Amino acid sequence: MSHLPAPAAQSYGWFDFRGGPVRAVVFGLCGTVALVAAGVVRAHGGGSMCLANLSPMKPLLAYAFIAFFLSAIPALLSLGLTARSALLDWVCGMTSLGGRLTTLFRRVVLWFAADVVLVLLVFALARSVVRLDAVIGVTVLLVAALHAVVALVRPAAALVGSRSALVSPPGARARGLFAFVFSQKTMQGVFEPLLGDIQAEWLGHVVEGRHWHARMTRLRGYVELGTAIAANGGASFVDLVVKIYKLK
Amino acid sequence: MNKLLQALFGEASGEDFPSLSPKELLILRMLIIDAMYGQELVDKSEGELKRGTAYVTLSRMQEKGFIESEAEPRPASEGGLPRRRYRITGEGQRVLHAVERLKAMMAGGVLS
Repeated sequence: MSHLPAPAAQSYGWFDFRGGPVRAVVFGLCGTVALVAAGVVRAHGGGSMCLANLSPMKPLLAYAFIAFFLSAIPALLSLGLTARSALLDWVCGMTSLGGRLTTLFRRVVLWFAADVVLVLLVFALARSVVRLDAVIGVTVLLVAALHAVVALVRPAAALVGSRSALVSPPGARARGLFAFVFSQKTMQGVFEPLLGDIQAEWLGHVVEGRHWHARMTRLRGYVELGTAIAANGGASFVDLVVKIYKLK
Repeated sequence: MNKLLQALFGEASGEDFPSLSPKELLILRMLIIDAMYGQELVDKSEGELKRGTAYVTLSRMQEKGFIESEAEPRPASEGGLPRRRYRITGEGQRVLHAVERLKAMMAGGVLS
């Protein structure tokens, strides 16, 4: 058995965005299909539906903008998921929001800059020799592939490929929230032993590489936590009301 | 029946017989054999105890004084939250013995 990550101490490096390589590729493919479809529409006389006609900018600029936007979708999605985690951690008092947002901003600037460079490079090389729609499709795919490769090669450094959702033990964040809502006696008697058992089972699956079992354990653990909350809820709700009343 | 149970339990002390649910009785029967972790109790109950509610029941039993527990840190190689090891108290043993005696009397036809 390896070390279980400390549930109360969430640490974030520069690149621990959430998501997965599959997600990056799927979004890249969706973007490509959308562009190819737009190209087909234009080729069959659907001029008014041409992507370039949707923008007052010059067609090339409009395509470059769209290519960049589509390639950035995985990044935006990851950004949203990570921001949600940051907010949850901040609510649970596990991290400082200011420091977390600064790190987020740095990552976003760095990765979006890399996207821009890649988009411009592909455009510069290919726009004179092949159809514009194809160039954009290839660009989007390349950017998605870049994210996917980084995700596979170095998960901790990936914009969209971190497997931190699996690495974070089940209930690690919920524990901070429970500590606020429920009494110390309930925490020690009900939730900490329950979380301990769930995390131990989950870790056993992770260490042995049974990731789907680990996911199922996580899901079942959430159900069990929900059951425990429901079974314990009445008295603790009164405690919470008293606690909030005292805070005021 | 309740009066008899009360008599069996309180013949020495004169106390009221505390409420005891079937799950609590099951847990007492398992803990009389040996002290156990919550997960062990769930595993050995063959589906009668669910992990989500077992700890709520155990916590309630602690409040009633039937069982006691102590936190045991996990080995350093595992890490994670400490587990609690539960053991039956003298009060829990008395309650269990009263119930078992009643069952034995019923099985032996004394109460028929």
